[in-house]
Amino acid sequence: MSSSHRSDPGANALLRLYIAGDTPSARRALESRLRIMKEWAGGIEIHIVDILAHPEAAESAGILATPTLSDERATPPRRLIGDISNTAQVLDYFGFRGKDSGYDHS
Amino acid sequence: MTRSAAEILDPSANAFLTGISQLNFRRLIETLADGILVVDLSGTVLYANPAAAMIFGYPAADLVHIPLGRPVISGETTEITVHRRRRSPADVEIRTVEVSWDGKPALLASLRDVSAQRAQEERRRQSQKLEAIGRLAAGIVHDINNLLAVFESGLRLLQKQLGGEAPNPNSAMLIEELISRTRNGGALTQQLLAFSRGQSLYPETIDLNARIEALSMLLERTLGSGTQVRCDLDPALDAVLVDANQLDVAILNLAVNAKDAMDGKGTLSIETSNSPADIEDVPAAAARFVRVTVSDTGCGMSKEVLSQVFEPFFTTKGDGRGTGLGLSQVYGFIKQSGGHIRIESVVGAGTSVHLFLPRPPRATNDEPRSSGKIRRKRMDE
Ligand SMILES: Nc1ncnc2c1ncn2[C@@H]1O[C@H](COP(=O)(O)OP(=O)(O)O)[C@@H](O)[C@H]1O
Ligand SMILES: [Mg+2]
Repeated sequence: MSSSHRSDPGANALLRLYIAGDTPSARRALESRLRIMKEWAGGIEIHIVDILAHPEAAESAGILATPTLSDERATPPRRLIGDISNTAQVLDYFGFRGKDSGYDHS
Repeated sequence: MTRSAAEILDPSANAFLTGISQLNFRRLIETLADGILVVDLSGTVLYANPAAAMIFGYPAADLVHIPLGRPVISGETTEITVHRRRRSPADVEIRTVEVSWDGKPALLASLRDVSAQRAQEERRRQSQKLEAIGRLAAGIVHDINNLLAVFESGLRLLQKQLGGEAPNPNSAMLIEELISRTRNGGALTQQLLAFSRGQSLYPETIDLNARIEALSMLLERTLGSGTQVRCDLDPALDAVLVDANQLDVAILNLAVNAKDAMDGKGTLSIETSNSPADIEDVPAAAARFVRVTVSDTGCGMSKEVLSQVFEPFFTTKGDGRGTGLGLSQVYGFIKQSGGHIRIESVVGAGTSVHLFLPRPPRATNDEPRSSGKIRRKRMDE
């Protein structure tokens, strides 16, 4: 359902994961982050932003809910809110194809 | 725009909607207690019902067009935290399904604010845990007291057996020393008991304002010149029924915490009120309690710290400055007195600790006094 696919999945993508403190949903999101980064070893970098520690970062980025995974290089920023443990849905949304399915069909 | 309500993509679901007019459907959604958000596939809000607007703290009209982000589609309910300006964040359950909106694919998220429920569960969990720790402490104190009693009587026996003719004069001194150490141990266990619920209190009818005035003189002298002490005492304050010594200790504990939080600079206020507003889980608080609030303009505490402060031995004060027993004494005392405690704290701004203390049973004609006996633990959850 995602509209664009990255033509070069080897390129480094930088996402931000906004969380708020140490809650169960934040912990889940952090685990998912590790899985996503492992699945796309080296290809995706996800920075963590704890908005309790950096409220101004959330304010300026317009983050209303956490956890939010955000690609801020897109305009408007491409964002996914909620439980990101379904990594297939996450990767698809941000334009990464599953590794096994290749990336040649369109 | 002709269509104002979402259409569930699953055609079988449409069967439920036949017979409901667009207008009725819209009214239904507008009055729903749950928040409803319709978001397009790029994450821009297309529709928000009033309940959703409430959760996000924006007028519904302002929410529309906001690039909120796409909610993760999931058959199950998951949880997010919604952050609002000048309000505490809300724990929100969210479930998102695919719908079509104005003929285009979109997402419908239903939201439920579960913050109040979570807070209540957390308080219950907390008080159960403290009760368990209290029981454990009481058991240990009992055992240690028995041991100490054995030591002390053994030492007394030795003392007697040696009489005046100890082979070494140091032995007599050593025995004397050991006896006083066992007494120290006894005093220590008594203090520990204060944090468990087994400790006996001697509640009496006291004048809270007078008590605070006496304490505030002490506080002014001990808090240092950078900190001010302000008292705002309700002249119409009724008497309270609590253990006077424990009350003093509790207020001193709160004052010491305030002093530590302010790091030598700020204002400590003690306020009393004869008609406190109701607190969430205590309806009619005004009728049965008076309130004393100890506030400071100190560092405040985070939600994480706040959730642990009543635990015995929990302290954030390093290098031996904290024992972690202050607030557990306050908590134990308040619970045992049949009162309530509530803490409000804002990081960087300060902390207010509210104590709700019980009034004595009324001795009026319509409500005869129950032989002067005190109803203890009447508010226990
Ligand atoms: N007025 C206050 N302002 C900020 N933090 C506080 C305040 N009162 C208590 N705390 C926090 O709660 C913790 C526990 O308090 P307490 O039980 O009195 O133990 P202690 O003062 O020995 O650390 C403190 O270490 C501190 O982090
Ligand atoms: Mg303390």
